[in-house]
Amino acid sequence: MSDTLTKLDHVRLSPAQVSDLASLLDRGEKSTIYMDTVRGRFAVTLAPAEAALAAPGAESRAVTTTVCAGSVGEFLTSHPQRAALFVTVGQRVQHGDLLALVRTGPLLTPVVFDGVNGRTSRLVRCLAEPGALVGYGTPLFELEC
Amino acid sequence: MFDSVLIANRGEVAVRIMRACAQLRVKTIAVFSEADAEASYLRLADHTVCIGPAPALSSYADGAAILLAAEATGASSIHPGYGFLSENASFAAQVEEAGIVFIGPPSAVVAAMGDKIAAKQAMQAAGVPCVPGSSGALPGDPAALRDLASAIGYPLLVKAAAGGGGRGMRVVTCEQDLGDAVALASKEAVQFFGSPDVYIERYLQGPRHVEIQVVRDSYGNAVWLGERDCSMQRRHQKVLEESPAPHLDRELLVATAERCLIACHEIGYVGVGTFEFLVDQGAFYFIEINTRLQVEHPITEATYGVDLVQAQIRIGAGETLPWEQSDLVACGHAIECRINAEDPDTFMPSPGRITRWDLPGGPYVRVDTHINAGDVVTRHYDALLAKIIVHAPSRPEAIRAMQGALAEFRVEGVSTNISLHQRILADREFLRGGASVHRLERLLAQERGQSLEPAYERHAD
Repeated sequence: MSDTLTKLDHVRLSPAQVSDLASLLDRGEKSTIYMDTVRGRFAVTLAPAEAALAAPGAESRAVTTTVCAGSVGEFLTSHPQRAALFVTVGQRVQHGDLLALVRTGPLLTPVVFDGVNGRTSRLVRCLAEPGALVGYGTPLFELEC
Repeated sequence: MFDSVLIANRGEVAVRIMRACAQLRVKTIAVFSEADAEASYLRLADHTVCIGPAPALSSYADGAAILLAAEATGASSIHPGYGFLSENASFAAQVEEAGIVFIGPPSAVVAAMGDKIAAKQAMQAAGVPCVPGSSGALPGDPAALRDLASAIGYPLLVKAAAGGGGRGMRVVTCEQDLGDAVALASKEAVQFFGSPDVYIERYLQGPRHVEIQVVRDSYGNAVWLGERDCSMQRRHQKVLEESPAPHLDRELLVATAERCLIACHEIGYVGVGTFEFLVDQGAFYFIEINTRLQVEHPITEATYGVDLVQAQIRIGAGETLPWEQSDLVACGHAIECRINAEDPDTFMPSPGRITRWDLPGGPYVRVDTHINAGDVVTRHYDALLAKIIVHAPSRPEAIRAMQGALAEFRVEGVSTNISLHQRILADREFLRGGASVHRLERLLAQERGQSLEPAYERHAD
C-alpha cells in the first residue's frame, strides 16, 4: 500500500479530475477513472465497500494503458535510416518491445513497452505526431490488453 | 543576439527573463517539471518543454535534462536564473562544451568563486577588504591552530570552504572550544558540501549585510551600480532589501566598489555579479561573490533606471556594456519585499491553490511575479510568490508606498508573510535605518516574548 502511495505522489490531478472523482464518490456505485501519467495509465476504481469486496480483480474487460516519453527530443516511429515503422496500429506487443525512439541531437533514446502484468497488448493508436518535439511525460501510444 | 534563450529555471525569475527576452526580440524556451505543467506563467514563453518529474534534482537542477532540452530545441543560450544550477561550475562547463552560451561568467570563474577560500584570496590580492581570518586551509597541528586563532582574535567563526546558507558554521568564543568546533564544522562540511575544508575568521558581532552590484563585459568594460542593504534576514534568508543602504559612508563605499571592479578585471569576470560584504563599525568586510543575477536585483534596476537582465543577455551574446560609469546615477530609494507562501508566524510553507490574487498598483509600485489566480503553489520548490518593489523619491516615501502596497495586496488560498513585512516596516530600528543582520531575529524573539542570545547567526545568500 505504501508503495502505491509513493508512486501516486507524483500524479497530478486536474480540477476536472478531482471534480470527477468527487461526483463518482457521491454516486455510490462502482466506477473507474483513468489518469495518464509518465508512469503509464492509472486506473482508480471507486466502489462502495461491499461492491469492492465482492469482486476483487474479477474485471476481465480490456484495460488500456499509455506509454509516455521519458526524455526530451524528437519523436521517431522508425529508425532514421530505415523506412519500416517499429510498430503499427493493431499490432500486438509484449514487454520489452521497442515502440519508438526519441532523438536528442546524436542520441537515440528507445521507447520500450513495459508490459501490463506480463500480458501482450494491442497498439490502439499513436498519440504524438512523428517528428514532433516531445517532453518528459508526453503521451506517445495507447495500448489495450 | 541569440535566436533563443532556454530558461533553466522556474517561477518568478523565469518570467523576469522572458520579459527581458521579449524586449530583445529573442525567443524563449521554458523548461518545466511535471509539478509546474499547469502553471499559468508558461504561456509567456515561445516554447515550453517538460523535462522531468517534480523533484528539482530530476528536473530544474538536473544538468543533463536541461542540456538534452537545449539540444532538442536548438537553444543557442541558457539563462540559469538564480538558485538551481546558476552557480554550478560543472554545469556551466558542460553548457560551454556543448557549444551553447551560458549566460553568466566563464565556468572557470564560477568554479573559482564558488570556493570561498580561493575567492577570498583573489579578493585580498585585488585589495578588497576581507574579514581577518585564515588565508587557506587550517593547520592540522592544534598548537599552530591556536596561535592562528589568537592572532585573528575571538570570537571566531569556523566556516565550510564550500559552504553557504549558514550550514557548516560554528562560532567559537574561547580557545578551549576551538578544537571541537573545527572538528564539528569539518564533519558538517563533509555532510553538506562533500569537502572537509574549513577556515576561520573573526566573528563580527552586529554587522549589516551590504552588497555591491557589478557588471562587466567580455572586453574589460566594467561598472558598478550602487549597493543594496539586505540586513533584514531570517535564518540567513533575505526577507526585505533596500537601496541605497541608509547611513553608509559613501566615500568608503565608492572606494570599496572600485576595488571590486579591480577584482573583476583580475579574475576575468563577465556578466552581472554581486560582491557581498558585512559592514561592521563602518568597515567593509568581503564575504563572497555571487556569480549570477540576485533575487533583489530590481531595487538596483529601480534606482538606476536600467534593465540588468537585458544587459546580462546582451553581454552573454558578446555585446559591449550598454553604459559607462558616468551614465549611471542613482535616484530615490527602493525597497523590495519578498512575498512567500508561508505562515507569517511559524514560517512553515503554505502550499495550495491561489483562489484570490489582487495585486497592488499605483505610483512607485512594481510587482514581479509568476502567479495568477488559480495557480497552485507546490511544496516542491521555494515559496516565493512575488516581489513587491517600490521606488520613491525618499526612504520615508518608499516605506509609505510599501505599506500601501502591502495593505492593497490580497491573497487567498495560501498563507503569506505579508504581515511579517508590515511588522518590519513598523519596527523602530528598521525605520531608523542601518539595522544589523540580527535585527529581524531579535524582533521575532521579542514577539514570542523571548530575548535572543547574542545571535551567532550570519549572512544569507
